[in-house]
Amino acid sequence: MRSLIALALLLVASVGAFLWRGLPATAAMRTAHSALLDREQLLIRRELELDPMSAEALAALIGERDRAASLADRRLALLAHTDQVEKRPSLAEFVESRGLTEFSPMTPLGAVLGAQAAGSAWGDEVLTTILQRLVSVPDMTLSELTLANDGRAQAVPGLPDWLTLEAQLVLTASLPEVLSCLESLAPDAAYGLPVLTVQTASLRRIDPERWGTAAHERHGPPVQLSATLAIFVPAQPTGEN
Amino acid sequence: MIGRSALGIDISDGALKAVLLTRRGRRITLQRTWAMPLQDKPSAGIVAAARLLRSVRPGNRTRVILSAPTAGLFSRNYLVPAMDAARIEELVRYEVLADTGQAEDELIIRHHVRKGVEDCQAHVFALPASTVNGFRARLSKERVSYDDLEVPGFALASFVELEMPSGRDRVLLGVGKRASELVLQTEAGLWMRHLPLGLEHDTPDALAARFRQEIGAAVAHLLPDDRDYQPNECVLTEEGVCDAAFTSALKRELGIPVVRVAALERIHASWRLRHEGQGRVAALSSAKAFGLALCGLGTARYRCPVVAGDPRREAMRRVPMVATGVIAASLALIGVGELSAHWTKTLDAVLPATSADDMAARVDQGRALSRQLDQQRTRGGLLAALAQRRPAAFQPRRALGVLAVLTAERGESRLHLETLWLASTEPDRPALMTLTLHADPELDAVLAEPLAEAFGEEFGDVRVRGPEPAPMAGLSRWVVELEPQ
Repeated sequence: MRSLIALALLLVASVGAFLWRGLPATAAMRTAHSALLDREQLLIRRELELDPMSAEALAALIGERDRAASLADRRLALLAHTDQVEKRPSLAEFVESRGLTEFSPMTPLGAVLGAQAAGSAWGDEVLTTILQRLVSVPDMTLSELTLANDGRAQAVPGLPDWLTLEAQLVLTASLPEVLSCLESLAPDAAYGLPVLTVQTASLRRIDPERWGTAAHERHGPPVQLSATLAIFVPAQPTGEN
Repeated sequence: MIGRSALGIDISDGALKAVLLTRRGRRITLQRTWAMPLQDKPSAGIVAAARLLRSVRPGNRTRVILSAPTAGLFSRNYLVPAMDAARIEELVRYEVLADTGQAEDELIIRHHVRKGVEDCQAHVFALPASTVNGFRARLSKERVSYDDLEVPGFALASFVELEMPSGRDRVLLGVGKRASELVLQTEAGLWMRHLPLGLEHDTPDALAARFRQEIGAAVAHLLPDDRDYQPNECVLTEEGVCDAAFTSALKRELGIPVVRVAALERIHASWRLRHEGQGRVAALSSAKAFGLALCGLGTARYRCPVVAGDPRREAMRRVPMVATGVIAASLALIGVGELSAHWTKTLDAVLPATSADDMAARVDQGRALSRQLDQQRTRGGLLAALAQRRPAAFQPRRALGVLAVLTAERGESRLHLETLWLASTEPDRPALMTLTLHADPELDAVLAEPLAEAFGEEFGDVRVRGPEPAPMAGLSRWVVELEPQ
């Protein structure tokens, strides 16, 4: 009898547990199932609306973007070694250290350069860079070096992390020196930042009296080089260079 | 297979004899025997059985079979056609009532059918209902819980058939102290008679003579006249076996071999076997108790319960199965609830409400990535274009070299470079170089082709325009446009 009573109590307890917890749980399960079906329908509709990208396609896109970024970085490295942190002297320091009297503040050109260097954030660095390239060529007469837009850097379409400045220069030298000057203004990774490029250049004989000399005579009369330079600087300073 | 056990208790002949058997598959094992004398009182056997059950405390799985009171036992064998059980029972009841001349409610009629091909042997017995009911009332009063009441004669025949099978005529005699069971066994029938005659009632010789008379009377009274009954042995059991004088006297009186169950052939002895109140020989002679236990195990050949016992015992025997069912049902109920709760959480976790937002976020992320990819491609293209400005700066030197060679080939004719214009490359546009030349008019007819050929070899795409009058008098102007590759 005790066994039967115990069994009955067990049965009653289990039925009670089922009524107290099991029935609500089964009802909740049915509700959850119904809600899942609703969510599934909603998701199908949203999927049709949005045309979502699969995780694999997303991963492929990320990989493609990273490859494109890596390629662009490698190309940037060809233009300038951006990791160089060598301190570049200021224009005044450079002129003084090299003894370039023709660019001293006492000369008209030097005064103009000094004013431009002080007039914009990038002026000093850009002008110093250009002079560093040019003064390596002997017997060159720089008659004009001007920063366009008062030395204000402009955004570069498609290169959000870069700014560009424009400079015009006019110099006179013999043909070999002019060619050397032109080539020294080409992008050279070894020089680091900023990146100098020749946008346009014009070589023109300036001495009409000497016309008639053959073109292959490179040691002939002075030649005038007019060039427009595009100078690229990072939008965010990368260091004291 | 789960084993079964049965306790057979025989109180039909002035002593209590009990046997506990167990069965596992086809193997029957003797576990324990008991024997104790009974006082000469009507209810002494029931009191002793109650005391035994209280001491043994058989579990619910042990079936308890008691010997039924056989005073007034009526026994017959009928040959009935093969038909369904209900009709056989109807026929048997009709025949017994006709033979006894008693009312139906005065008798408890039971029968055991041995089925043949065409006919069936119905071993029938009837007991006075008042005797059986009184016995049951006394059992109830003494709180003796049992499963079945079986007639001792059937039990005796079942045990002897198991241990000493024989298809021939024989006499089975269970001689107790105060009563005996006589069973006449033939190939075709079984007749029983309860004799209020035991070892205490007379000397062995006189007793043997009385048994011979009783056997003769039984043969004459019970067996059909056309049946020639020639027993070839007498199987003696119970206390009579242990009385050598009685056995010898009986052998002399009957003139046939008197045998006993000397050893158990089909029933195995347990290694824990105990005999209480008797020796091994006496224990083996408790044929009725053995037969009752065999009835409890369901292996008795002649099993025919007089009445069913305490239904609670049968019910309690089902308790484990019922308990298993109840526990399983309870676990199932609880499990359904728990599983439902678990599945609710699982379903809630599938496609959560934020999935649509996640999808939109992924779409936005995909678009942003596409934009970033376009930006990086544009950046790469622009940087490539800037990098290409480096070779462009070296092109004037190459162009002048070509021009120098060409001028040298022309001899004294004048050929001058007026201007060289260089426009560095822009994205998706090659660098452009334009040379303006002044030459003697005598070269007007012949200069175009050498210019195109010389510059074409060095730069690829060349366009030569001229001659035109130059601003300087006496010279012609030529324009060479180069798009270096």
